[in-house]
Amino acid sequence: MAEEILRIEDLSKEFVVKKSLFGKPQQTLKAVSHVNLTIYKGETIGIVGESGCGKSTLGRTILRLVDATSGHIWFKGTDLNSLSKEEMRQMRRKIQIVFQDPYASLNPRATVRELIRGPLDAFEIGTPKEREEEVEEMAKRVGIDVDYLDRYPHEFSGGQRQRIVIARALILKPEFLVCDEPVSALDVSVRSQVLNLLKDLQKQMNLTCIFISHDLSVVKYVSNRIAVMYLGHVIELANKDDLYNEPLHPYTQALMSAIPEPDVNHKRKSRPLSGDVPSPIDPPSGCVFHTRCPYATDRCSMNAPELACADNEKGHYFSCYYPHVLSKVADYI
Amino acid sequence: MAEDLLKVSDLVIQFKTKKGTLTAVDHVNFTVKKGEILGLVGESGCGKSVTSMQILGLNPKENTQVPEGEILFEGRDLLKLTQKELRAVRGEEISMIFQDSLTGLDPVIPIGKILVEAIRAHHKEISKKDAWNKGVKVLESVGIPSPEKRMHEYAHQLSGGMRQRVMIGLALLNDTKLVIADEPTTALDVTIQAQILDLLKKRQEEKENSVILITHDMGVVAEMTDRIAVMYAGMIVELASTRDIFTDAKHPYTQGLLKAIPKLDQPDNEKLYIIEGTVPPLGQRGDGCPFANRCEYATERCRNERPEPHTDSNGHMVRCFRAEEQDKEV
Repeated sequence: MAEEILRIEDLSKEFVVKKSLFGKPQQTLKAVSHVNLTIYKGETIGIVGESGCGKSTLGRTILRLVDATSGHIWFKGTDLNSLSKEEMRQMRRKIQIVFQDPYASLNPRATVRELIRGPLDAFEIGTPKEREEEVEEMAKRVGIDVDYLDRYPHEFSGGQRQRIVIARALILKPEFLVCDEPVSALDVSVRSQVLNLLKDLQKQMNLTCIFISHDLSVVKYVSNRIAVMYLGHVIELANKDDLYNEPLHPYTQALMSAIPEPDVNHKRKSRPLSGDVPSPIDPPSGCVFHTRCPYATDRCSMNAPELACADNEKGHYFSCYYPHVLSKVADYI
Repeated sequence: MAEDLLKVSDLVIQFKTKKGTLTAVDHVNFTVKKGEILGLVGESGCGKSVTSMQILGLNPKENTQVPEGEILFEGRDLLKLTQKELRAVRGEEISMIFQDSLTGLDPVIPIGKILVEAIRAHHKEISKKDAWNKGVKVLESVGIPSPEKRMHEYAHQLSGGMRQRVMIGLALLNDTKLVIADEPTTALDVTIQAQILDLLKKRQEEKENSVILITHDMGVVAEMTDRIAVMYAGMIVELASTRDIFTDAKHPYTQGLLKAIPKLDQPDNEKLYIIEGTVPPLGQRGDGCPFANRCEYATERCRNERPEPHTDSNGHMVRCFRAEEQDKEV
């Protein structure tokens, strides 16, 4: 196996939503609970889940845009959670992030040239002339016309703006990139342009990526391995083909069957899940999915299953007590 | 063949702006038959919402030019109705489900009161108590647990999926003949989306009413609709049965759109198809085919002349010179 680059160890993040009179936390929202994840060099790991499952919070804790409550994030042997503010700032030369909304990510009063150059200025890399050259080269790589560099973000379309954001994130030649729903705000015909660009750049620059999205077909297209999250927990982790062909967790199965496929011959196999996602402020006892799971038993509501390994060779992990039952039941539905 | 319920002919909608008059909807023609679900698909800014809003006369009066064309609903031209007459049509004969259920429901009025008001707006003879009971039944029919309790709650106390159920309940309240659903599941998660689509389809089959489903999601239309109209830059560029659109798309835009979506069985090393460039902004769409600047088959003629709708013997409509010629060759 390739070299390990990032290891998330027992990471949890709780947000305090209500404080007592003296500032003691009274109610907390468990956004991420005890997540373990190892990421290898050069791979793209997809994180999927529905809104509020903690996938974005997980991405942000890696850059320490929010500080984790407990746990460790090892980046090439350094625990990011133990770094000082300045050390972390320096670390962000190697770890970058692309957000969903390209409209909100760009300062409307700066030109595209200034925006892409920003990180070079911040870390004082190279002479002004070298920086200019670097900006122009990066712009070419992401497909922005060099003649347009002195324009402002509002003069660009959504897809072009996302290219600018990507150029800015990659100008420092980071090793690790977190993509938080980078194409969700884009129209279908533009989305494929940005997806192809991201995939190409990742290969060229040997980047390691975390790709966060709610869109399963997009995640499948860009990732090597996929982690499925539900209410702050990683409930299944596998190579993408194993995950799509042989999902073991009932939530993953439901999620797969709920996607409407752009194909007239495709019929949805099973009934959709009933009910809503429970509140992360007061998550269910035991397995967090048991309130909506069609196969749940008493055991599920009492104890939470650990993330277990189904196939050591393939590295297929899941957290469910009844995975065998599932594969059989799935045939009947 | 089923009867036409709604017939839109040569609809042109223009907005007055500082930059001059902009054409948002350009000679749009389509029909909705009784009991069918018509999908209206396209990217943002293609005019799909503007078209549907005009059916109910909901485009802002101040900056909309008087629309050209006709919108015939059971033989009546909706464009010629007065505000008062239109109000009688809204909610009673045609209803609408919006994307954003949080702005669609009044935040300071309990759900129950909204329902009672909507019922009594068209049927004054129903007492408040009967209307309340009917409201409870409506909530029950759209799958809301403990509907009695929910009647006293406010919009913000419900989850997104629940609110969208209330919206569907409201839209189906008076057994309207036509329901316009504008991106009804776009703001929802996939598992909730599946629930809502199932509900919409079930109710449509029970009531046998017609639905216009507006969406940008090709997966959703594949699953839900009978026919699909594909819009691009204010025009319907292709209109055919759902099967034909997915198996025999004729317009290069429709073809590209279908190829650009990653499929679940997409091979790993295969690149996604790219439609180069972006949609031309309003006011810069020229005289030619609006897709010409992004089309790999575009010729001089496409850039200068606008293709007219061409319908083949199967009723497959397309606005494209190339497709038209190919049809003639066959």
